[in-house]
Amino acid sequence: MAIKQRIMCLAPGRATPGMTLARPILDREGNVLLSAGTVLDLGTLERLIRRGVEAISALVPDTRDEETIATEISTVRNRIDRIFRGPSNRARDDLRNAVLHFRIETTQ
Amino acid sequence: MTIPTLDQLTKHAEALPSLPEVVNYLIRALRDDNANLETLAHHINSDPAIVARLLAAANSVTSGLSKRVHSAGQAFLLLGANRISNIVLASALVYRFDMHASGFSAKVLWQHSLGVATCARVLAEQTGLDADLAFTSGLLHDIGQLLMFTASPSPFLQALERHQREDIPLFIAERSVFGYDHCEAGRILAVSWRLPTDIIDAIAAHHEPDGFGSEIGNLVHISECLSHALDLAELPNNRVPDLSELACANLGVSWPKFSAHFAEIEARFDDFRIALGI
Repeated sequence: MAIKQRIMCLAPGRATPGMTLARPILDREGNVLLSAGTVLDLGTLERLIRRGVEAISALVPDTRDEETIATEISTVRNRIDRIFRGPSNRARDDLRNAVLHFRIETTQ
Repeated sequence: MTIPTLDQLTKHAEALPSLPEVVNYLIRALRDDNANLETLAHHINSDPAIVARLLAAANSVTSGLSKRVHSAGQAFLLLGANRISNIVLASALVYRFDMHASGFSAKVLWQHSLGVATCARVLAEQTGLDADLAFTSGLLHDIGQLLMFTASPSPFLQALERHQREDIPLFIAERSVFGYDHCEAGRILAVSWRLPTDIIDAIAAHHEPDGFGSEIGNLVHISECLSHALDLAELPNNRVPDLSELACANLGVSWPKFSAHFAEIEARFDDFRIALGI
């Protein structure tokens, strides 16, 4: 059975050789430096640091079962309810929804 | 319990440790086209403590690689002048103003400020504003708290306690105790340090930006809210502050669109925080 994977965003200096890129890496002009699916080695990681790339999305093994994921999502929802407590306005509500969507997407 | 007036606060500002020379240079360099790498390298190399912290941070940033960084020159080649400037600026501030007492920790303040600075840099990159100015303003936005704590520790701790107990914003609790808040105190300190006007405005405007008409003020205000929303400093009592609709509209921030950068902000913040050891 194939090992389940999830996407993690991290600095290139903290990535491990052998990790696979989940998303392409673009330069400041939007040109593709490395495409998704590239397996990273030490030389590539060093070149990314030299080019000023500060974050990459890589695939990492995901050993969580469905129950653990459901618990994590519930924790995320409760935390967002907690930190967005109190009166709000449209801009703050939009920010809340964006953060909630981001958290659930990255937790699943 | 003596509460200093705003005029007296100016005197306290003069008594605080001055900004490290390298920080002064980096802030001047924000608006100086003639600033160059050699001068920056000279400022860094003239202070062994800064070199040591730079090497520690550079080796942390490149911890996944096999090679070690042994000199400031190597760090420049690997990380580039912009990242070196950010690392040096942040580490010099964190170590120069390392104050703590029961109930107050400058480390917590610097963690939060680094979060705001990281959000401000990414937001500036996406909105076409000056990313270095945004980062520096984010890093310095809460310096008023350092001044208020130094000038009057007991009342400042009282304001902090009220902020926690009543779950009200710190700047509101400060006003109830001092009659002014850390935005105003920060403006006084920034003027005393002769910081550029943009940074002074950003410090003064970061909680209530609507009356200021400052782009960087709007940006730091939004970054303040975003850093809380992303829980970057992970404070147990964290609460996202009021967010100005006008500031978001003026900067053209659309949250569904900008959320594509949230993961990048978290990764950059974590990398920086670990590199600085805070």
